[in-house]
Amino acid sequence: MIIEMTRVRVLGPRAALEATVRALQDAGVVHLIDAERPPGLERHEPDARARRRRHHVERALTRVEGAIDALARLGARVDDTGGALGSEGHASFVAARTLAIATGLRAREAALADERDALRAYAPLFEGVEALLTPRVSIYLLQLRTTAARDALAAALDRAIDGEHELRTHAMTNGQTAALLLVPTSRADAIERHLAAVRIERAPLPAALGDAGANLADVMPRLRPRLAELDRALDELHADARAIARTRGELLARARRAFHDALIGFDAAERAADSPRAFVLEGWLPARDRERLHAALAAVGPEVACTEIDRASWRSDDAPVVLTNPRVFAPFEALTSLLPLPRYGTVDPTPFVAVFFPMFFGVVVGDVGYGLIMIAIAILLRVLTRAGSAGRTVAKIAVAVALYTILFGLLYGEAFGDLGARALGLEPLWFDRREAVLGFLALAVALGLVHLVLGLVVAAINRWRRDRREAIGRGLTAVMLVLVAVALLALFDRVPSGLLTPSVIALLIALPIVVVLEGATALLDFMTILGHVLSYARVMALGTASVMLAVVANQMYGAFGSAAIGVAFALVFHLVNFAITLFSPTIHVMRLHYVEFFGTFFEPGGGPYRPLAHWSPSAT
Amino acid sequence: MDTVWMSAAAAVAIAGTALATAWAQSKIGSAAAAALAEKPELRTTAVLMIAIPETMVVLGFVVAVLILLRGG
Repeated sequence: MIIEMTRVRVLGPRAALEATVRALQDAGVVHLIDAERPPGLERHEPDARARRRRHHVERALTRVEGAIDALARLGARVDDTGGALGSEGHASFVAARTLAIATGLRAREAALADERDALRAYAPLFEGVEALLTPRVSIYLLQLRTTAARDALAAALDRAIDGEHELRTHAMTNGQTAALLLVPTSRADAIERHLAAVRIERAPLPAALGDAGANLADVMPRLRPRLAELDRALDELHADARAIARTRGELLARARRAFHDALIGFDAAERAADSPRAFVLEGWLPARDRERLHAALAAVGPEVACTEIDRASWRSDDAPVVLTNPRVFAPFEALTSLLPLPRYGTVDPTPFVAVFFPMFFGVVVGDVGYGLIMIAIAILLRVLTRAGSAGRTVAKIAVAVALYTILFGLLYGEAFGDLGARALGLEPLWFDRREAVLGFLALAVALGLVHLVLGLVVAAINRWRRDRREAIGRGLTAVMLVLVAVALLALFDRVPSGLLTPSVIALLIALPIVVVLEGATALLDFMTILGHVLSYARVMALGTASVMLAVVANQMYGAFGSAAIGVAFALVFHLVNFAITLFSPTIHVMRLHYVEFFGTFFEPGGGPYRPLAHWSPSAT
Repeated sequence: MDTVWMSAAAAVAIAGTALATAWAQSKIGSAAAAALAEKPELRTTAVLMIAIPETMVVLGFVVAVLILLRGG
């Protein structure tokens, strides 16, 4: 539901503006709006001192966040343990020093990591070669531009020296291939002539191991010690960064919070209207939080007054919207949040979605077996996710959906299609939808009728506060919808046929009244709603398709010569059907809510509630 | 012979509406993909717009079922 808001005006001497803004930040309940400016009051303009201070805070914050970010990139996290900042100047100085040190560490880290990566690229080539290093073996480090060049070289070597060689290759990050070639020294001259003839170049040695003219046999033993040295250096560098974060992190975190708070305060003050002597701030807060606001302002002093200027009219278009729902409904706010917020003073659709979304899903899928699998997935998701995360919300919705799926599975007598009936003797408690297709269609349309009549009734009740004419029109439309249903049922002898004439007469009387109340478009609106009722036939269509696919899956067993192959095909079919079952009904049931149901009463256009409060990392 | 005609009528009912739905969804889908590239916040609207033409094939399915059941 949407909670009641109240609009407040805070007045006080101009000198108390900063203190008042800080008090409002402490209270954390007022959503500030631009204050109205009666004659004598102007929009607040910060003076030269305030502008200088803002500039100083912005620069200091840039340094602080730069230092924290640089430390984080070095693997050193800065945690905010709370507490107030002492000297802003000292914090700014420490941040600048830390930023310089951390930037230096990052540059060194990048250089070390680059060298390590370059050496690691050669490690597979040099692996185990040292044992072969004798005067009878010559070694070449080559650079091949393409894979074809490698194959051509291998083939040429086979021809030239009868395979008396070893060729190792490794793809480098620059896209080329490095190759290590070992040949008998007796064949070295022939090999070098061949390499020169086919223009294969020597690969450059990593600078850390030696200069270009260094002997490869001398260089290779240095690789592993150098790699170990680099790893040690990187570990020490990260340990240094963590030590800095330990000693200075708390100060940096406090400074970040304090500077952000100061900037939020500057922005808030600019929403005030003031004169040289007084200021006015205006905003919205939940009516239940008034005492908290009064207590916070009392701490500033008796000269600051707070008055309510627009309370509980439920009509204010600029009032921010706060949704609050019982714990059992709250997860379904994730579904309603996909649409814009409802306008203040209208209806939060979340409770209706919480009731009807799982129910309609259950009506469509209605299978004990699939429901149990959904429960298992929901439990797994709950175990794997953190409280408050999107995954946990999905898990909660999945439990509700699965319970309804099991319930309707029992009513239809289905478990993995007709497998429950065949293997376990499961009987439908209500009806078998594989046989009673028309009954299932009637159920779907009836659910649509009830859903839309409920939406129209909700609209009528809600609009009664603001526009009684429109409210009566919505109510009459709901009555007309019921009358159409009664007339059709009487026509097909489902209710006493004597009801046909009175319901048609009532319909003919109600129709012009609705047109008078809501205008000529009411007729078109009524026809649209009738079409929307028929749209609920998709519940039956999807449900029938789902159960038939499951039945086909079960028929796979026995359709092949081998039982194992039949079972495998049946499992694959059930898996496909289950995947479709998760996706398609979700989309269609959501659509029935968003398009058909919400169309009867939902009024978007509410603004989010963003109270003036202290900064927190999660708020950015 | 009646059975053949009724089966054909049911097939036309579902095939015609399925083709119409597919055509509408192809148009809406490509437009939605283009819109989402510029405004990702329209994803909910896009999904709803794509799902809207499915009403045709749903009603086609219902008509096909009614033809077969009434005829049978």
